[in-house]
Amino acid sequence: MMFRLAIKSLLSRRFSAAVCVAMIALSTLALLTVDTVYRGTQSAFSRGVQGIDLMVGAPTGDINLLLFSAFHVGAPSRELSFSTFKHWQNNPAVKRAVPLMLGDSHKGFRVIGTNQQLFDHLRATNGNNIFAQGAPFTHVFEVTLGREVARKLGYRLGDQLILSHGMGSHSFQQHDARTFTVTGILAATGTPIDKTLQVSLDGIEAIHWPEQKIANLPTQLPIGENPQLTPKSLAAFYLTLENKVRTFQLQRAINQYPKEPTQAVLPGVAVTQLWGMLDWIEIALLTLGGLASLIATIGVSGTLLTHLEQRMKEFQLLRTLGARQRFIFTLLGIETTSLVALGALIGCVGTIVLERVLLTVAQNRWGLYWALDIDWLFISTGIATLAVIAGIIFSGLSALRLRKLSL
Amino acid sequence: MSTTPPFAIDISDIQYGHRKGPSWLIPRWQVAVGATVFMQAPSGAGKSTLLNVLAGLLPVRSGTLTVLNEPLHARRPAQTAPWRARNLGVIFQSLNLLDYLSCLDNILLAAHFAKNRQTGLSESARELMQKLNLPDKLLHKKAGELSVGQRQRVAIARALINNPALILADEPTSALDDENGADFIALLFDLVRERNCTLVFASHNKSLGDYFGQHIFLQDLSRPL
Repeated sequence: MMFRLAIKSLLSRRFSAAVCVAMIALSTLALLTVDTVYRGTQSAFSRGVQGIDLMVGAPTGDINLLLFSAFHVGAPSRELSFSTFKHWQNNPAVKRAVPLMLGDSHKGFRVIGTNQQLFDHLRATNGNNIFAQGAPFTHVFEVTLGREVARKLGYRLGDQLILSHGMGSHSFQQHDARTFTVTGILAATGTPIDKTLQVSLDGIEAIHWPEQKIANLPTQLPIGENPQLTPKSLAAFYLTLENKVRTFQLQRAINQYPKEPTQAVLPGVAVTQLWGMLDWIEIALLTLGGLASLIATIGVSGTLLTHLEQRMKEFQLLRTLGARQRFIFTLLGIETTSLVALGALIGCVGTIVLERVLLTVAQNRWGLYWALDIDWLFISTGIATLAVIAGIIFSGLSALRLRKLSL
Repeated sequence: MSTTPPFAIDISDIQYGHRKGPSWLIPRWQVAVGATVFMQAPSGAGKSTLLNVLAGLLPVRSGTLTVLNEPLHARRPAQTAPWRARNLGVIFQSLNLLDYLSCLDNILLAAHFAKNRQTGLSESARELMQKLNLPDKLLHKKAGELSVGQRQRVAIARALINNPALILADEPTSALDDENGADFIALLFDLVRERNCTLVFASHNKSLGDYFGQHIFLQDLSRPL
């Protein structure tokens, strides 16, 4: 009977009930979206350094090293010699070492000089199907493209392109002695790699040769065939270790490397530092979400309180009929709780739908990607607590009002 | 109901009143079982307050008040709900029914609070409606869609569904025109006599007093404090 009463009473006020539900849903949506966007951004940062135990470069700031090597922002102040890279690559504790040569670009996108280890690294972190089309480069004058580069510039497999010296889409110096052939297009990763082109170390070395010297190189030159193309220096390299326990030990060893000043950075720590500098974003976002919820709370409370006043007669009638106080409070509790729970539930579903849509758009438009990271336990307890608290508060208020009226 | 008290209402020396309102004293008042009492009082004389006291909704401050063998002076209002549900039928001037429930649900709601688990409650409700000259099809209509006269008659059905020993009516006819008012009283009396209920009927309209066994004036009964 009580549920029947609650449902009929809610249905009889369906318009204002719907407004309440909508307000609660919208504020839930605002809060959750802020939260997911924030956490999505944070996880995008972390994903950029996923699987990397140490980042090594010439001594500079931790964040600078992180920014230019993982996020391709800024430039190294000095380079490391190739022998140093070789030295650490051959260290038994190292499982994988990915070299990075930076400084060239193509139509505003950065070019990374690297080797097959980059693809091994991507396979290790993103699964086996890292290529949307094609395969890794095997020859010196071959290039693979990040998803975003291929999409923006409309390149397909087999296309020819030239690299430019330095950054910017209107570079002064074009490496136009040789063209590079596209052999592969990477699948979207949601990391900065989507916005880069990848060529072999030998390829980067070759285009910096004098023009006559390049002219002597064969078109189909397998990587490593010509020992003269082995670079002398590189910007940085990533290390992935066999056993993470040795990270600090190796970090110290690299920092104290006698032959050349080197610096090793724990990328997770650097990302946290970087993120720490951006914590005002979190505060701003959460304040906005909080404000939205506060406004909704006030609105919903106003509506519910008005109803409470209007329904005092109804409750008095129920009491005259012999309803215990308990019955009335439970009735009101059920009504309020179900309104709040329904609103919050719709808000959650709305958030998921919105996020899915946004995700698809963001992925197609900007190559952005964030995993939909929803803490269901947190959300469901949150909704339940919120709803029950609201129910109790309004039952309590009506209890006070009823007592006043009857005494 | 099972016991037959000598008096349905037995009052001695009670003081009562709302906390922020006038208070009254009743030295002595007894109503025999099965009596039909017309309590005449002008508006604002405290008849609703007295009816609330008799229903156990408002506690007395002193004295003894026994209604249907229940010592209400010793009870807090919160404790009287089950007793009220089982033994009392109450009819107000208006707002007798929940608008958003059907007539049948309104009637069954009273049975629900009284924990009346008899089978065939819906059938009894239908019979009551028939005796009150209400067509069957109204049973499933929302109470809010009925006319005032129909609503007051449904209120009788709701007050009687649990076969209460005492019916308290507070100006139930004042929202009705004369013809509907007379109908209402006639139907109420038929059903009350059939069940041998005690009836306390409060109104300011003295012309209704002729129907009743006793006609009392509230001013004679109670003194303001």
